[in-house]
Amino acid sequence: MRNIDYDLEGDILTVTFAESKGRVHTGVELTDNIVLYFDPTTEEPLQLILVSYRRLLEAPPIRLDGLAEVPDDLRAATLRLVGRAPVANFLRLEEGRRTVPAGRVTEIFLPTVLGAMTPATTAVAVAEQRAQYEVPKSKRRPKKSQTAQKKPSAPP
Amino acid sequence: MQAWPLWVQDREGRRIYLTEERWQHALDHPGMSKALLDAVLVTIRAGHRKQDRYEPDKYKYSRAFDDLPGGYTHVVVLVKFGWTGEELTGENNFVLTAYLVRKHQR
Repeated sequence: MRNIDYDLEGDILTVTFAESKGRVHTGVELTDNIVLYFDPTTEEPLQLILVSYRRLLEAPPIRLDGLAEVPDDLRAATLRLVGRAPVANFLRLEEGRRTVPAGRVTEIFLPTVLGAMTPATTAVAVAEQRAQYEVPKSKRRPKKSQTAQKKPSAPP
Repeated sequence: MQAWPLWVQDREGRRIYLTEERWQHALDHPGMSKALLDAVLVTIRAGHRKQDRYEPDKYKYSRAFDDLPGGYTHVVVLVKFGWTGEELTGENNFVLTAYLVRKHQR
């Protein structure tokens, strides 16, 4: 695990598993709210984007209907990736026979804690959560501040 | 040098802005580069708009391009729509992030 970034304003959780620069990569939408990037040659996950993360946690099993738009040569690899760690730690496939695969987003933050957060405390909590993973301190990226978006004072 | 924030109107005339901070956030996604800024703005201006299933104030703009790097086919831009309470200039619509995806070419 390289980095976990939570954007409070957009409720977007971005999990970066590995650096994508300098390697082959592709990205597919599993649903309108879930995007997965991976290296198609090694089938190593690179990044997972969960949009409206807190709402996804409360949602019933999410139909991965975006897979219908995924090119055939990538669909099987995508499903294999979703079915195993580390992606499965964040998005767990539902078992059972379904025409469209479905999954549940796994909670890595308490939604109640997130709901009470200010942008400043979010950075602290994300840092604490990140400490649970195996990223050496020397390799962590500095956390960008996530400030509430204020409308620019002088629009054209 | 860009004059941030950048302002753009979508097809229905909604005014949306992109801050430098949000653009830097977008650049963290695989395949995104500064060279794609114009494509992001075109996606807002002319892309397909779809409301988020879970949060009605968020919309996804997407548009297919023929010349994206790495086999990607579409630019996706997430926009949050808001209201400051001011009557005439109260819209506060801004880009949350942008990223690339690969889909079937139609």
